[in-house]
Amino acid sequence: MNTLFLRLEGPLQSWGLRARWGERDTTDAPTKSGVIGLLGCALGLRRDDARLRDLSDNLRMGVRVDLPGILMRDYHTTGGGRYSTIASTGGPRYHDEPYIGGVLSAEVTKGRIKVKINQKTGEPETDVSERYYLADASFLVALQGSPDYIGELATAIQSPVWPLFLGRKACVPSTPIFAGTGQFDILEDALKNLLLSPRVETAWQRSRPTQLRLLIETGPGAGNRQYDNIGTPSRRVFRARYVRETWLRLEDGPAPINTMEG
Amino acid sequence: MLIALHLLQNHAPSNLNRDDNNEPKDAIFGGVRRARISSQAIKRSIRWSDHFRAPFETQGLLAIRTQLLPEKVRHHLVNAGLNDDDQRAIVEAAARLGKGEQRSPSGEGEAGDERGDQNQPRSSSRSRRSSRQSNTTGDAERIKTAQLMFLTENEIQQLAQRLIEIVREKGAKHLNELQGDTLVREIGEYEPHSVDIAMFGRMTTSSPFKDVEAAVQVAHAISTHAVEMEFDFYTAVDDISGEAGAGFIGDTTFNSATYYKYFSIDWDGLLKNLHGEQNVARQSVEALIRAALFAIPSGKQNSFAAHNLPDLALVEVRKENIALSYANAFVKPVRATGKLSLIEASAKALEEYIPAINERYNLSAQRAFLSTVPFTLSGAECCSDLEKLITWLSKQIGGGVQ
Repeated sequence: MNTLFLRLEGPLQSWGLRARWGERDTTDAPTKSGVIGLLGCALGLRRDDARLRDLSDNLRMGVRVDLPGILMRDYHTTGGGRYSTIASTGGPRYHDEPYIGGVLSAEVTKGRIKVKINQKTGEPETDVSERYYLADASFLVALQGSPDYIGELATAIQSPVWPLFLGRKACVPSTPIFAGTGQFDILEDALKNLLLSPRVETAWQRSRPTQLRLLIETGPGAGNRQYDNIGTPSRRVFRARYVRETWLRLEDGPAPINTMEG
Repeated sequence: MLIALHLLQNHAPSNLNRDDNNEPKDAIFGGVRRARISSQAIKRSIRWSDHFRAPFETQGLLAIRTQLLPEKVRHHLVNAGLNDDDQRAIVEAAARLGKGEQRSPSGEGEAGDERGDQNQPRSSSRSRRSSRQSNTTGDAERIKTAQLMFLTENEIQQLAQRLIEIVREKGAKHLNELQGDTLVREIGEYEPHSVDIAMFGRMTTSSPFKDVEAAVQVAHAISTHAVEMEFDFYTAVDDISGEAGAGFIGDTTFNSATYYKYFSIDWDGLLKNLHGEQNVARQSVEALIRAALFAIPSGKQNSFAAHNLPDLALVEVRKENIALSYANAFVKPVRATGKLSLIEASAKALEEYIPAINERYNLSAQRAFLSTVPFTLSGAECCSDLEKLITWLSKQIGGGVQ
C-alpha cells in the first residue's frame, strides 16, 4: 500500500497558485500546496507547521481530471471602513493605523500595507477582491509515498482533526475525500485505476470522454515548472515543482470498478 | 464530532447578494446556471443577527473592536493597591502592544486630532509624557493603541493581571524597559474567549493576541434548479413637472430560487477555541442554528422583502469530522411539476440522495429534521417544531462529549 487516492469534488473549489491581495486566482487543477494543506488539516497541523514541508517532500502527486469544471469569478467586497476619529489630510494611509475595515487590494510599501483612499471623501475605499472558483469540477488525486506514511495519512483523512475543504473554507466537498488506497509501481498506473464517484459516473453517462488529462509530478527539466511545492510554511514561501501533462486514453471504455478498501 | 445543518429555503423574487453588475450572483452546476448566495454574505447576516448576538452580548462573550486597550487595562488596576509609578508603567506597556509587529506608526497625515495624536505611543518617552498629562484628566486624553484591536474583555483582564504580576515581581523600571518582542515574550500569549471569534476565526497582526481558526464552515448557497435572471423595468414619475411620461427609467435584475444551504460546526474545534467551556459552546451551537434559520442577507430587501424561512432543516451529527455537502442531489436540476412545487421536488431529491451517498461510502450519522413539506428519512427523527429540534441537538452533543 504505497498510494493514497483522494476525490476532490464539490460545487465550488479553488486552488490558488499566484493569488495576492485583490485577485485570488485558481488554477485548473488541485495544486500540491493545496493538497498538502488538506492533509495537514486531516492531521491537525497548523498553517505554519514545518512538518508540512516534509509532507510535500515525501509524497509524489498525480492528478486525473475527471470533470474539468468551469472557471467562475466571485465579486467580493469588504466594507470600506473608516479612520476612527482622525480626519483625512489626503496623505497616504496604512492598515496598521487606527483603521476599521479589511485590507485586500492594497499595495505594499516598505513592508507596510497602504490603504486606498477615496480622494473625494477621504475615507478608505471598499476593498474589492475577485475570487476565482472552479465550478462543478471533479478530480482524482493519487499520492505516493512510503507505506507507513500512506497508512497514517489514510487513517487521518477518514477521521480528520479539522473538517476538510477544497482550497477555501466555503468550498465543501460533495463526495467523501478519502477514495481508497492501493499498491502501484508507477504513479501513472495508479491513475489508470478507474475509481469513479457517483457524480462522475452520472456525468459520463451523458458524455463519455475518450481521454482524460493527467498531471504527473516529475523531476526538474521534465515538465512544466510551477511554484506550489511547500518551502517555509511559516513565511508562505513556495519552491518549484515540475509537472508533466499527459493523456489517459479510455478506448474501450473499461467498466468502472470500485476498489475502495474502506 | 461534526454538526451539519442542511437547509432548503425558497426566496421569493429577490436580489440578496449581487455582483459588480448589480445582478444576483450565480454559478454553473450540473451544466446549468444556478442562483447563488455567497458564503461571506450568509456569514455576515448571521453575525449581525439578533439571534446570534442577543444570547452573548450581555455576557461579554462577543469581541469588541477598540483602541482603548490601555484605558481598559487601567480599570483593572483600581483595586490592585499599586502606586502611581507602577500603574503608569502598566498602562504604558499595554499601549505598546497592538502596534503591528515591530512597526512604528507613521507620522504622516495624522494631524487631524491633535490630542489623540499626541497620545499615540510613538516611543516610550513620548507616551510617558502623554500619560503624565492624562493622569490629571478626563476623556480627551485617554491613551490609545496605534491599531484598532479585536479583543475580548477576558483577554484584557488576563493581560492586566499578568502586567500586575510583572510589576510586583520585577518592578516598574523593568516593565518600562520591555519593548516589542521582549515585552510579548514576558507577558505570554492570549487566546480570545468570544463566541464570534471562536466560530468565525480571527487574524491579528499583533502579538500577543493569537490567531484563531474558524470552527464553522458555510458553503455558498446554490439553487436546486436552473434559474433565468429576470429584469424589472421601472419608471419613476416626476410628481410636479406635469409632463407626460417618466422622469426616470431603469431596471433591476432579480430572480426567485429554492436554495440548498450547508453549514457545519466542528465541535472539538469550537470547544478548543472556547477553552473547553461546554456550556458556552452548546449555547453558541444553538445560537448559530437559530441564526442560520432566521437570518437573511439584507441586499435589496427594502424593494423585495423576500423574508422566507427555510421549509426544510436537517441537522446531522457525525462522529468523524467529515464535511459532506448534499449539493449533488441537485446536479440534475430539480423541476416543478403539476403535482410538486420546487421545494417539494427538492425535498424529494434530498430524500433519495442522502441514503444513497451515505451507504455508498459507509458513513453514518444521527439525524433530525423540521419540515413543512413531505419528507421522510429512515432513522431520522421528525421534529414538530424548532424547539424540539434544538432539544434533540443538545442531547446529541451531550452524548458525543461524555
